[in-house]
Amino acid sequence: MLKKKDRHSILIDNHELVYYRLGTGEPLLFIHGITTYSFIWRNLTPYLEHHYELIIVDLLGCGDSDKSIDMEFSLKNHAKVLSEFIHRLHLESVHLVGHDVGGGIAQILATSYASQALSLTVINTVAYDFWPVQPIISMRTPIIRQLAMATLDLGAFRFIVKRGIHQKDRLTKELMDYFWYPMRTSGGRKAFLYFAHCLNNMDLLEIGDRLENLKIPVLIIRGDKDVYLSKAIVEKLHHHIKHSQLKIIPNAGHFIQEDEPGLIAEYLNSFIQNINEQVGR
Amino acid sequence: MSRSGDNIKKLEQQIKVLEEENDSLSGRLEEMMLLSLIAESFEAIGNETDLLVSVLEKISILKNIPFCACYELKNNEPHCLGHYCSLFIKSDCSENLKFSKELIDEILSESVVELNLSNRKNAILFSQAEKLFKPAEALIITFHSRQVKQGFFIFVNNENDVPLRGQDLLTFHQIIQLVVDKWERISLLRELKKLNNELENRVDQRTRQLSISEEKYRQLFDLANDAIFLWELGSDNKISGCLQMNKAAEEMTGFTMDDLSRLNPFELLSNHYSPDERKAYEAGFVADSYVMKAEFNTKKGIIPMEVHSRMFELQDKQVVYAIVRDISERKAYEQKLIDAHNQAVESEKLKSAFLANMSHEIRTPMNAIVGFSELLNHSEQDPIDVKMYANIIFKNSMHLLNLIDDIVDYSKIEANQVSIVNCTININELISDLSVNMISILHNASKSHIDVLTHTPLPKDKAAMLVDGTRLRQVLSNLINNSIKFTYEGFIELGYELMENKIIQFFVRDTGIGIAKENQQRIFDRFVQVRDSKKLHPGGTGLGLAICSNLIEKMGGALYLESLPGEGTTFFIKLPFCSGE
Repeated sequence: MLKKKDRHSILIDNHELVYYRLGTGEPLLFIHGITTYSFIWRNLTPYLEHHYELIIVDLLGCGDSDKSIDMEFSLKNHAKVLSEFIHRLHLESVHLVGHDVGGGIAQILATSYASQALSLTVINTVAYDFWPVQPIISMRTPIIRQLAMATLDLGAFRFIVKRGIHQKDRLTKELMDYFWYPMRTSGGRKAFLYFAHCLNNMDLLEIGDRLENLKIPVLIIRGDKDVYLSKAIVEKLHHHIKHSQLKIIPNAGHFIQEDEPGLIAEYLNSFIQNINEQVGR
Repeated sequence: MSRSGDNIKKLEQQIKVLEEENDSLSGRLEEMMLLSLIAESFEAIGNETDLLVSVLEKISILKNIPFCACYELKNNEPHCLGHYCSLFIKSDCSENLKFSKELIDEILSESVVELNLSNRKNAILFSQAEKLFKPAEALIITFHSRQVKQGFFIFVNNENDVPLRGQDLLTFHQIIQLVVDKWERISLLRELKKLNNELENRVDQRTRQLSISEEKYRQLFDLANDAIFLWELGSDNKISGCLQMNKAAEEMTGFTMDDLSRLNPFELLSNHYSPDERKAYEAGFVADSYVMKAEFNTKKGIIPMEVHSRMFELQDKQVVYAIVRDISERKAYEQKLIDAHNQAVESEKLKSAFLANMSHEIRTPMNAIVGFSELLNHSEQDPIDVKMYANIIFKNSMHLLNLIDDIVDYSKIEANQVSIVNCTININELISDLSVNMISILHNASKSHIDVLTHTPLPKDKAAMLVDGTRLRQVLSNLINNSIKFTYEGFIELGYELMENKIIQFFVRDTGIGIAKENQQRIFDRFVQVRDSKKLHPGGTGLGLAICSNLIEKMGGALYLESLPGEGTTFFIKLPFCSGE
């Protein structure tokens, strides 16, 4: 559970960015995807906070962060903001953990701001030109239209969340309240839709080559029952990134942090410990 | 090859048709969705602006039109009623839009205006350039409603968006109609609410006034000094119980509501009333208006009450309102007045009797004195006659003197000027003295045939008593004189007895005419003499016994009598016996 006492905010480029910072150890930066915000990591913190310093952000336009849409919410821009954020926190480098489009942002950070990345973990991530369903620009794209309708109707939103969770008993009212929280205001809805509007697969296509030449360790995690993102994405990533590890979690869907938080924490922990053993830390 | 190529072409065409169908179906679905979302969200919204903004947001999001707004035209000037702009950085963009006069004219004459902004750059001006928003086409649909006489919705898309031109306008019209209808409902509801509020206020005000007035009357009822009851009448016109009573009523009677709620108050009427009287009271009480005075049993004893009652109808019930006053003080006062009046009348009567008596009593000896004095004045008198006249004058003078003494004595007593002086006397000697005197008087009155008896039980050396001897002698002499006056034969006995508790009782017993029972108390009053009409008037002022009685009272004793008419009378004097040294 994320606690108020760990909540902070920082002004970056005149926009307020809200984040949680807890635990001590090597820093891990958690980047959420679209439709979620910092809350999606709350079940992982108990497993990790005793070994690492956890930094969990609300991306601009999401959660409690600034909702104004005068800054483009593209993955590139988010990555730029987070790079500045890492710098402003006086951190040299962090282990990057990204989920969904957050995984895309983490990829950009790892390639374009390589010196700030100790390792890269992507969980049910977008990559290359694989997006939830293509093409993405038009509002006619079913997933985007679903998102648009979902901002206006709790029932439609619940439908999206339900499809993203494999273990249906995890879909509690409390969880829906977390998901629905930013949609209760016009500003929240507008920022959310603007985020969806700004998604552009060029951002990730651009870094395709650099991704394959990454020098840092890479961990790829997939929930086998993710209905939103194709298995082909992780297969391609694992295939092209030479030193990557792939973990498929059988009983997990898109919102894998709800289905199997313990397992993800375990994989993360052993992944990072392994790195440290190799470099002799 | 060409066949398979044809097949592929056919299949591609089929796919295209299916895709178009799919598109059109999904378009329909989207519109239905939009309409249903809008209709649903109406339920929760109670204010026109919120409603409008919410609808504009939904249209913008679901139809992917970045700028949606609603304007009212007042004197051909557009005023923004609500707007939603998904791509505007500044949240308030209501003042952002300027319409050209030509466009306004167009809007006034056409119900739908479609325009390409790249062709008509001046028709709509966005005063602030937006980074994200490049207006391409505008769709304007006018409407009229009760509140907004002339208004229009404007939808502006972004470049690269799905074109507005050629879209099915039915959905837009439906949405606008929905909004306008809902507006009307809201405004009607508001008017209704306002009316309701006014009504509620008036009811509140009235209720407040009523409660003030009720409070006033309750205070009047509760704080009244008179006891107030409200009795309910049953169908038999009999009182079935008390509905209400005030504090004064509780204080006066000691009863509480619990005691009286099922009681007929006439069951409390004092026991001495006859059944007829009870009936009359009860009948009067349930009449329109009635005043009665009666005594009632209460927890605080029997209380005489004056009851003012009035019957009236209260909420289909017959009730009697009764104001009740405790008149025991007034009654006592009235009794005092009556007593005083009687006393005054009696006094007046007694005074007249006294005057009549006195004129007789004084005149008789005065006549003798005057007559015989005159005779003495004549010359040549026989010395024997002269002596006799002188004797008569002396006797009558003495009589007159006694009479005056009596009157003086009594006046003194009345004026509280008599003092008692105790000293030791020998009562045996007193009895002996008095008996000698009595014999002498009997002799003088030619009643020597009446025996004189004495009774002195104490031996002479123990017969000393501390008492006002003069007064005791005066009283006993008086009683003896009375006995002599009213006794014609038999005996007169004089003596005393020692009683318990150091009481001594003197007595004078005779065998005279006796005193009728009804007169036995009266004779101690002033100027009262009981006369035997057959016998000669024995004379006297009628003051003697009154004086005696008073004197004995002053000495701490009591004077009383026993008598049977025709058999005789005994007067007793009870005094505390203090043996003298």
